[in-house]
Amino acid sequence: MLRMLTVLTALTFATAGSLAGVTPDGELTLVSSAYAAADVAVTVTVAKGAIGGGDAIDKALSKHARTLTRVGGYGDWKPAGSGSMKVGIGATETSKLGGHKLSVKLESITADKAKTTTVVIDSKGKAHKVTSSLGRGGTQVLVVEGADGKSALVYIVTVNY
Amino acid sequence: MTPEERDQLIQRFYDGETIGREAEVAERLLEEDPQARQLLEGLRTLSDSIRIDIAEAVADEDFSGFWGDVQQRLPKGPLTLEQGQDREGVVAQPSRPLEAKRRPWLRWIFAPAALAGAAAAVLLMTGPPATAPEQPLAVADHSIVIDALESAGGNVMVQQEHDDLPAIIWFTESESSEG
Repeated sequence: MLRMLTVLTALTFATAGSLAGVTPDGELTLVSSAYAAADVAVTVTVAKGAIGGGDAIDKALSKHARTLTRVGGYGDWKPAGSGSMKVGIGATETSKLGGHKLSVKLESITADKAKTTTVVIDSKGKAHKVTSSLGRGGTQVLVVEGADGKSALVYIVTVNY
Repeated sequence: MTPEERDQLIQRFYDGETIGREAEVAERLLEEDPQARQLLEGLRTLSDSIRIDIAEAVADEDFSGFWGDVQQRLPKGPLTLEQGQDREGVVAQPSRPLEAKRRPWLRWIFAPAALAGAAAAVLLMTGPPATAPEQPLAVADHSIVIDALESAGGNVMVQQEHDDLPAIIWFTESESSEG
């Protein structure tokens, strides 16, 4: 048993050691893997809430409960669609979710930020657009309040790379 | 009461071990019987003569070589039989250090168990349970820089109470198809 633990510990250190490097000025440092991603994975969850609705959140949306409770004035959240897309640099991917058209364009990408332009085309055919830079695994939430003033669609957009 | 019973009673009385009415009987005996009184007096004298100041005795004693003396006096080898000596079918063996019973098959159980444990630890550290409510992941960076906002609707609002929380961007659907 002790021997097994020793081997596991050695493997752990060996793995960490393989990531270690020496800078030109002789300093020992950890070298992060070179950033070579050329696309991002975008996942979208759409929820529909009713104005003045109760605290109820559909079980399928429980993962996003914390976010949805921040969307003030709306409640009784129900799922309205979900999807994912892979977007390359300069490319635009479009998907129809929650009755609206959603498109995501990857403008640029660095090790820390991915810059995207996200557009939601509402039921009247009008565009609502945001260009933003998000960190790794970051999420932005687009709330589109219905023109009837009774409901809202929430697009929870997460960018991973 | 025989002289022997009397002596035993006085002895118990002196030791404070009388039971029931024995103490009364002993006191009466001491009043009436000179031999009983003499016995009690003898016990007291003897006790006084052997009383030693323990602390003084311990202070005077040298214990430095005590354990060495004990070790020297201990018999070497087996305590009951000499090595090789046979007595009633028992043969003394040379002493050997105790060692755990060898169970080589245990490593075949422990090795997978250790690997499974390590894998479970890695899974626990890297991923939340599928049904867990949304939590700010340590790896998720919700910090956002908004470069541009455009909307056909009347109102646009950005809400972010904290960098750890995703930004919420509010749009209002346009009233008409006119842009």
